[in-house]
Parts: sequence; C-alpha cells; structure tokens
Amino acid sequence: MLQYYKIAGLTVRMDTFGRTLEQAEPYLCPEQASVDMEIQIPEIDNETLHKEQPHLSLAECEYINTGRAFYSCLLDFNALMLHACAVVVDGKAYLFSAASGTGKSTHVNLWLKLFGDRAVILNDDKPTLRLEDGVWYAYGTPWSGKYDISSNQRVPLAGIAMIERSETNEIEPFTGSKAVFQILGQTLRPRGTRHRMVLLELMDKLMAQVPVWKLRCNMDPEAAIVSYEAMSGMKKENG
Amino acid sequence: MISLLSKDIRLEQVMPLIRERLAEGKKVIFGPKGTSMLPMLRQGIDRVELVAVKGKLKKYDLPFYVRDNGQYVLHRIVKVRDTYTCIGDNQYVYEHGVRQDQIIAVMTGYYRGDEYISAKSWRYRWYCRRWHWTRPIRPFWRRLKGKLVRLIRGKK
Amino acid sequence: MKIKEGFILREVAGDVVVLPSGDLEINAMITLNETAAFLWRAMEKEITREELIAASMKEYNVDEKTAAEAIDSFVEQLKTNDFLAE
Repeated sequence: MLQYYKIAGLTVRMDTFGRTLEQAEPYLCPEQASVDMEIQIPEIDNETLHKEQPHLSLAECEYINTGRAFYSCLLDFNALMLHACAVVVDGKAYLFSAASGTGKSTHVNLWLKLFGDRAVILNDDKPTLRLEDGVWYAYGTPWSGKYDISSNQRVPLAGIAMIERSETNEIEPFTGSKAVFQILGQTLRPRGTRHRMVLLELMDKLMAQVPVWKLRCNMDPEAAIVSYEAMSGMKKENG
Repeated sequence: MISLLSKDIRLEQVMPLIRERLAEGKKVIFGPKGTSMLPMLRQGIDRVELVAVKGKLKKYDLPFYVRDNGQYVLHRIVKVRDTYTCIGDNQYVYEHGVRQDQIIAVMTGYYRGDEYISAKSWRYRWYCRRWHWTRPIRPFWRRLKGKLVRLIRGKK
Repeated sequence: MKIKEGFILREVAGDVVVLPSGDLEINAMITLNETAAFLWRAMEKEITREELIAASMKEYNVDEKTAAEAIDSFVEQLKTNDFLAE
C-alpha cells in the first residue's frame, strides 16, 4: 500500500505490506508535495532473501529490505544509522552499541529496571542519528523490535557507549581512531566514494559533539548506575 | 595500522528476526555457510533446525553462537566446564571459553538434503561420538589414504 | 613512488583514517599516525625517495638518516599491504 510517512524528519513515500506496513503506522503523515525518499521493494528482492533464509516470511524479508533501503539513503540527509539500543531518560537519548550484537539490550534492560516509567526505549536495534541545525538527535524508526515500543520521537542525543563485557563496571571517554573503528563497525558502510567521504565527515562531526564512551560492564544492576552517572553527568538519587 | 571489520552483513540484518522467532518459541531453519562442519553439513545443500537455548548444554550439542568480534558460528561442544569448548567437525583447533550468554540457539535436527535427522536419533549420536574420537588420527588417515590412492593409481 | 588510487583519507575524531573508495565492500580501516599521514599525503602524487626525504626533513626538522629510516619502513609496509602503485 502506497502511503506517506515522516521518519527521522524525512518525508518518505513507501509502497509496502506486512510487517513494515504495520510497524510504520505511527509514522503516517498526510500526502506531501515534495518527497525526500521513495521506497518500493521489487518482489524479486524479497524472494531472493526468502530463498536464502526460508524461515522468514516474504513480509519479513520485505521488512528487512525496506529498512535497508531507508538506512542506505540517510547519508544524503546528514543522518546515519547505528546498531544500538536507544533509551530515553528525562528527555535525553542514550545509545548503547556492542561489537557482538548482544549485550546492548541486556544493559538497557537494567536501565528500564532502574528508572521504571522514567525510561523509554526509543529504538532497540537501529536508531537514526541526525544532525539538524548543529544539534545531534536520535530518532525512532519503524525498523525496531516487534515487542519493543519504538517511539516516533526526536530526542537530543546525550551520548553513545560502546559496550564490552567485563567482570567489573567501568566507563571512560572513548576517543580517536579506535572509537571511530568501533562506530564504523556498527553503521551501514556505503558503496561509492562520495558516500564514504560523507560518512567520514558525519562521523567526525558526531564525535566532535556527542560524547562517546567505552563501557566495560557485567550484568549487575550497578552497571546501569555507573553508565547513567557518567553519561548524564548526574548522580542517581536513591529511590 | 590496519583494522579488519569482520561482519556477515546479510546475516547481521536477519539476526533480530531470528532472535524474535526463537524468543517466541518457534524453530528456525538455517543453511550454514562454510566448510567447518563437514562432513555433516554441506554448504548450500544441508540445513539445520535451531531452537532457543534453555539452560546448560551438553557435550556434542551443536550451538549457534556469536563471538565477541561479531562472527556467528555453528560449532560442536566437545567439553563442558564453566564455559564450553567448541570445534567444527572439519577443524582441528579448539575454541575455548565460549560463554552461555554467547549462545543464541541449539540444533535439534538437520536436513541432509531432504532427509530430516533428529539430534536425538541414535544414528546421529553415534556419528558425534565416533567423529570426535577419531579426530586425532584423522590427519594421519588422510595422508595414508592419499598415499594408498597414489600407489594404486601408479606414480605420476 | 606513488600510492595506489582507490583510497579516501580524512581526519576523523583527531586521527587520520583511510578507507577504500569505490564500490567494493569495506572490510578494513587504516589508521595513520602523524608521520604516516604526512608521508601518505605526500605520496598521493608521484614522488621520489629523495624528494620525500627532503620534504620530511623540512617538515619535522630531523636529519636525513632519521627521515630515511622512517620513510623506508613506511614504504615497506605499503609494499607488504599492496598499497603502492606499479
């Protein structure tokens, strides 16, 4: 079904069905004259993926393909995608990314336990990060977990933490090429020279303005207090 | 300094859905890549049936897990302690220290071509034991086999 | 001597980073320290070893031997990784 959506501040005209249609509903907007992105996945692309991964339905394959189409166009709009779990507390977004693809949801769950209703998941898998008027924001998108409430919100980005498992809980600023490398590993790496240049420029701007942290943690509730206090600059009051 | 990014991009995109399916208690059927699980699993031909992991696994179980560098692996457990030691059927180097939290799913059966073989079947369990026991002598057997074949075919 | 075509170089977060340009999937990232970045940039155009030594001596205020050692070691790494143009 062909409809108009506002995702990450962009007007997207998308012809979709199944899971994408369902999860994109909160992003619907009235028909617009000018469109930033046009997404329609050829049937053959869904069928090809389905052959490779037969446990996925065609609707799920389309969901993966529409997400990929959206994220691969972001660089033209001062935006990029990050494999991360984004949680919002007191109006600020905190992103947790992990090299292995596991561990980020675990840590964010500790935040949910710690803050209760005060914490909301913005997107549990691929939030969009966008630079607008000199400020970096995190956005929810339709491409998020089935059971998590990915909200259609724009929230100022307070920090990004790269998680590593450890016995104890420690956090420190993460800078330089090592940080660049880890973040690069968690975003969509584009084809084409121009887009690659744009990606590097954007990453430079991101890391100049948004604190990036190295979080070494275990699965104790204390881990959430350690990360929150460092990333927010505030003490977690008792209770 | 050169740093390598290792990621199976396609699988990475599909993983959230695989995890969801497993969390719902459903099975996932999956065609593994590579040759590390030969002779049991042939790339492009055979497929495995995976379910979510409940509790500790046993020796000879075949888990699907993720390494800390992001690589997804399907290798057999050959030793169980606080962590697991895993190795592919076609490999000789053991991977120690695989943690429970790295494990995403475990194999309950597989499709050899079109034929389904359950991980509980005695035939499969016998294959696991025999394959693991003969591991130390396998390189020797291969070399010997090579020599025998050359002898029979005559020198080149 | 010259570095192959097919790389993009940019300073990101205070360090100099190199990625392959073009359409092939990126599977590696190169980080250059200050000296390496200087040499790499100089070698983006055809340049002789002598010219490179002279430029390094001027830029870093070092003697010829030091500059030559750094350059030779760098060029060796470039050769090993197949970054030098034929």
